[in-house]
Amino acid sequence: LELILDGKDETLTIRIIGELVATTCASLREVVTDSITRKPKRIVLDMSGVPFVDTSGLGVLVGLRATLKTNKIDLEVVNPSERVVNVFRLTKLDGVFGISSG
Amino acid sequence: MPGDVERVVPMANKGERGWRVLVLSADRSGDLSATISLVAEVFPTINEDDLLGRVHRERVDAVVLEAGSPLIDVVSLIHDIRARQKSTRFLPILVAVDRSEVLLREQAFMAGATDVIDLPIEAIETKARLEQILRSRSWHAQLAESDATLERERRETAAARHELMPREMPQLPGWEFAARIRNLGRFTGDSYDVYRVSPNRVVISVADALGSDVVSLIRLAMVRGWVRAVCGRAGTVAEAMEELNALMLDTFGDDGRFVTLYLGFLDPATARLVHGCAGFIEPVLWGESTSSQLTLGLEGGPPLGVSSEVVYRESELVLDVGSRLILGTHALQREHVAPGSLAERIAAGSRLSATRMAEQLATGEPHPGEGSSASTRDVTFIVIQRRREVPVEPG
Repeated sequence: LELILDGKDETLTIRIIGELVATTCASLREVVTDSITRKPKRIVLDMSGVPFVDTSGLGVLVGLRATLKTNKIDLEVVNPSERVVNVFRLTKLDGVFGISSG
Repeated sequence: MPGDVERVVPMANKGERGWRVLVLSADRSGDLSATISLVAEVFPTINEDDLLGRVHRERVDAVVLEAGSPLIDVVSLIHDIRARQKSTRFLPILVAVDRSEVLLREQAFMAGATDVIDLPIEAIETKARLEQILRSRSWHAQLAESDATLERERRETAAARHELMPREMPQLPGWEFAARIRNLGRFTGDSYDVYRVSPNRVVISVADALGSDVVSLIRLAMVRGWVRAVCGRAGTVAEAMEELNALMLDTFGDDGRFVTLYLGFLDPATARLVHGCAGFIEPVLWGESTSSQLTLGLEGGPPLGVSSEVVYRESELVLDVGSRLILGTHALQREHVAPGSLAERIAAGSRLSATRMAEQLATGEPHPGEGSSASTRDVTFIVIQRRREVPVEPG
């Protein structure tokens, strides 16, 4: 999993490249958790480079959402592919995350 | 004295480490054994048979063979050591060989030697090299032990998960309930439960806890207990799911390790099914008269343990005679996003009994289009079929 970080103003954008699955998702959790010390107001996960998410990947996203909420940091998931959006819809997590296309 | 530099060379403590090395060598000078003894306890052997016998009888950490002696066929000996037992397949074998014997050195490596020791012996380098090899062996042994412990725990966890499953399915006239698990020997967090709590309520639950460890098993066991406790008294499926969600969040917090759940209350007398999903993939309803998949449009909500700010909804349907409901914990494996594959298998098995269909779905070969993850994960399928219109006697 490749993670490209771009911090502007108080927003940290993390571009994720690769499948967000059981074998890869721990690195995203680690990077986002470490980023809390930068004190951003918002973390944007750009998922345009993510072809597939499994339940472990979703679990990491749900856990991060809770951790960031505790730290008063907004989490936004943007640009997911149709396939990834479908996974969010199937699990009814689309309503939990503020998923947008841009 | 001030200004003096004391150079401390740590000595290998062979007693503490307890490494044991078998040596087969002419070693007339005694240099080879003396060097090895700096690192490990040396056990000389008298010939090839003696060495082979002791390798397999005793605890040995390494073998050192002196090549070049007409009495020792190093290549055959290495083959014999490696071939005899699993435990000696990766035993370090060092071959002491004259620096100029390039061909013999190559043959030793080709035969499976771990390393070579140059002759005439260079004590410091040999000691360091041997120590490194023995240390690596200790690490590998520790890793192998840890792996074996983990594997044992995984199997015990998988076995404990099976204890959570119902021993038998309800036997009701006009209904067939069947469940099958594709068990690959590893624990995954899925479980099911089908039981009758009252004349008019059969509870059907399928849960999938995120993760494949003991934590998942504990959550699964607790959710199963909660489902049994809540569904006996809950008025509706939606109420039950809301209570279960609250219990999850109160107990575990929202740490991301959610549980997906299908929950249904079936009245066997009227065939009315009230059901809902918490992050669980919508079941498939197969109609006998239409021989096709019917749209459920099942209401629900996100998985349990994600958020307290959700409202769970339920849906209702009446199962027609011949129709069957298929529930699977194949959720979010790749085949689910390869449209059609599961539906095709259901269609292919539509003339089978519910039991046979569940077997076929759970144990069948992955369908083309199913990705690699489909074959590495346990999968549970439940098939509920309304067979014929036989009214169920209350009580």
